[in-house]
Amino acid sequence: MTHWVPELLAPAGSLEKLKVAVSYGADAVYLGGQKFGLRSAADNFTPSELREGVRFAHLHGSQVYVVLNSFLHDQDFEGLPEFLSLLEDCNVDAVIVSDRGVIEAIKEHSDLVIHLSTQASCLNAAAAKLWKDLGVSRIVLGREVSIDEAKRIKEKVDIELEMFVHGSMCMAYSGNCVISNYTQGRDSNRGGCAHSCRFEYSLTKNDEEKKYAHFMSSKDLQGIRQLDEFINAGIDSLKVEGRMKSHHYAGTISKVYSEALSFYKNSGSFMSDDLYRWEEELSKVSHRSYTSASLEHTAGFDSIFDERQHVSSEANMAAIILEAKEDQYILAEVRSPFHVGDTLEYLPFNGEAIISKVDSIIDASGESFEKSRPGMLLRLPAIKGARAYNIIRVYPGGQL
Amino acid sequence: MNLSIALYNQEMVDDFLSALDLIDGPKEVIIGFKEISRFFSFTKEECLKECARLKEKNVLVYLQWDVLMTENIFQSVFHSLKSQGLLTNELFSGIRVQDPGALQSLKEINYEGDIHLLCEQGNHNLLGLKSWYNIWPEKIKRIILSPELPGTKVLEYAMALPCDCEILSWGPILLFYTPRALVSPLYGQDEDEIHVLGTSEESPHKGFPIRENVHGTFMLNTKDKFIFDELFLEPDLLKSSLLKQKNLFWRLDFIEGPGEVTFAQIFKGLKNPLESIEELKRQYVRSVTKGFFRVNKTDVLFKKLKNSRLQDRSGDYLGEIVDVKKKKHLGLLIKSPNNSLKLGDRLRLMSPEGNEKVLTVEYMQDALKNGITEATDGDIVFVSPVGGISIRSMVYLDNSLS
Ligand code: SF4
Repeated sequence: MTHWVPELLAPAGSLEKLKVAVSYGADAVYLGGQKFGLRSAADNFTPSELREGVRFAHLHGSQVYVVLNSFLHDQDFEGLPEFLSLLEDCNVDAVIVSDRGVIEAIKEHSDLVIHLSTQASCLNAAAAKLWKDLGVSRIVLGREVSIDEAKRIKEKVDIELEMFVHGSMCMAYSGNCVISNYTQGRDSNRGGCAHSCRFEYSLTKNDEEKKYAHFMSSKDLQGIRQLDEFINAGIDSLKVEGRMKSHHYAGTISKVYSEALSFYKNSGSFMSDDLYRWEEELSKVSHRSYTSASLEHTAGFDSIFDERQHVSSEANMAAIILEAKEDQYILAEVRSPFHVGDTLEYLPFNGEAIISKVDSIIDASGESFEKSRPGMLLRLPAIKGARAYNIIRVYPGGQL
Repeated sequence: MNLSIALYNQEMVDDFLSALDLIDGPKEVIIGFKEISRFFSFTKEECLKECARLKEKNVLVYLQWDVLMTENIFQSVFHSLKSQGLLTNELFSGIRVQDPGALQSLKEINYEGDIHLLCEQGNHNLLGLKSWYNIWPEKIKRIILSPELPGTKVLEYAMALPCDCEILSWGPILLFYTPRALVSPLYGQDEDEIHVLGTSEESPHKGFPIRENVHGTFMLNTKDKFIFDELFLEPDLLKSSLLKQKNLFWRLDFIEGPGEVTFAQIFKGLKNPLESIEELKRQYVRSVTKGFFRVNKTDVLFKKLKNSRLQDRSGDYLGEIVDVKKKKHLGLLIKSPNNSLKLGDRLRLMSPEGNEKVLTVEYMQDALKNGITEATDGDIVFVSPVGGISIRSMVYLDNSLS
């Protein structure tokens, strides 16, 4: 007997990251096209990349959602109907939207399934009911909503609910921060957020002595220990933040959460010896200190990230496998340099990592080196089970 | 000119009422209480008392419910508002809400008063504003427009919407709202409300007013919005149309207080703007800005950030160059599920810089230098080197000769 688990929804900042996330077990990915999304600096998908991404994801049984979550000004609607036709033509599974006007335009010009973005800050059942009546079929709840509250919303409104399970967090109620608009001339609700909440501020109260603090900077969300609560609440989809983040991040997070969810699927619990390993894995990707934020209780002072207290346990991604020939060799593209004598950790799509020492560094033409450099194509010894898009981490000097 | 004014504390109500004794002032005010309003200092009882005083002067009083609430708090607050009879039109002429949940709940109880819908966050298109209005046209009597809108859009929307519109005209600009208590932990927990000024080396602006209260932490802009000088002292067709627009309300909203200036001076000054506007501005103490009232170009900078890479992966697309070894080989990763590479094929290679080269595949090898005759999706093959072609070059089958 298998047990119901929610969908794992991972970020896909580029076509390659989509392939990494899907290969490491994401049930769905979300991505942005060249316009209408909030991550202007992400390596957004061209139409042909979009087509290829959907094909790859569907082939692996995963869904693709496209973000159209900017709050548009009138002039920004130009080209939207054509873009919607493209999305329909590519067979994307849903679009993620914040703006009331964009929802109307989608309903008018397409039959696309609409998910309400967290940017719309849907916080309660009454709001969920309103959005449902407006044609939305899934709501990404505001990050301030606890799992317990989400459960109540689910009981009252028959609609799919999605919640964030992992990643960086906007400190403000989403859609309610315009710091960048006024200080940098960049519209945070159209992809221009300058992350002013991450700055260090000096605070003065009644001309008292100044206090220096990153007082507006949030720790990152980690919800691995709350997975059973999400399941009990019937949350349909668990979202990982991070379209701007690395391949290493996309792969590791997808792997950890999908392994945890499939463990539950088979056993009906999270009482796994692997729990500590999963947490350790999550600590290896680039992150601020973790918090469960508002998943269980209202986020308190311990959810604020003070950079000075941070201890990093992050690992470096050494390379990504581009081709793995069973019993013959692996071709991998170097992402950060490593040396002979270092230790490599291969992250398979399923199961534990495989450790190996770097005895030699040989490029694709057969030439030997003492040190690899980014961009190099390396020929590595074959490893059982290695596949294209597997991630390889490096630990300097033979230490794990 | 239709004015609307928010009265945050007892002092402001007193000042407002005494101004009305001297001069014709706004016919409506906005009031609220701590449980449901972000910045009002009144308890519910105080709010009701002030409401009664204001109504005696024939002023319409609107209740502000602008705190955003997650499910548990929302339910308990809504039930308490309902059970205490605050959601009838006997006390207040109407209610001002931002949360779609509040709008939905009022609809479900068939609220009898007017609804003023706060669309100040992220509502910058007519399609969206119209569809908000259409949720309950009988009761939505006003839409509060985004303070980021330029004057041209304010006029366009006021002309197009079948209800009243309102725009912040004088007062602080709210930049940031979180339910988290960000300041009190730094100072100890014993105050209901904390006000500080924040400055960051990484921002060109200094001294952001930051206030924390029971609803969370709020950051205000360093300069307050003030558009009356623009409206009255720099007249043109747009400004005169705006001033004539009957359904447009101009809001005075002094979250931080009106400074040295009294309401009597303000109301009088707005009746004689040419002589008084500059003086009012001077007396206000806090620095002011027109914000985006002239123009909103907040999309210009980030449009430049957007990547304009438009690489075609359709039709004859075959894959990508993943390795370049001078005078030795090009490593080609086949990425197309539809096309394969065979010996003798002609390739068109396009570098990221736009260099285009052609290559006829005379030999193909794998990484162990074994010769191969065909490569498909996912394979990496090595072919003869071509000058000017770098990693990430796109590769297409060139069928132009066939
Ligand atoms: S500055 Fe911070 S709080 Fe504001 S939109 Fe950006 S991430 Fe969110």
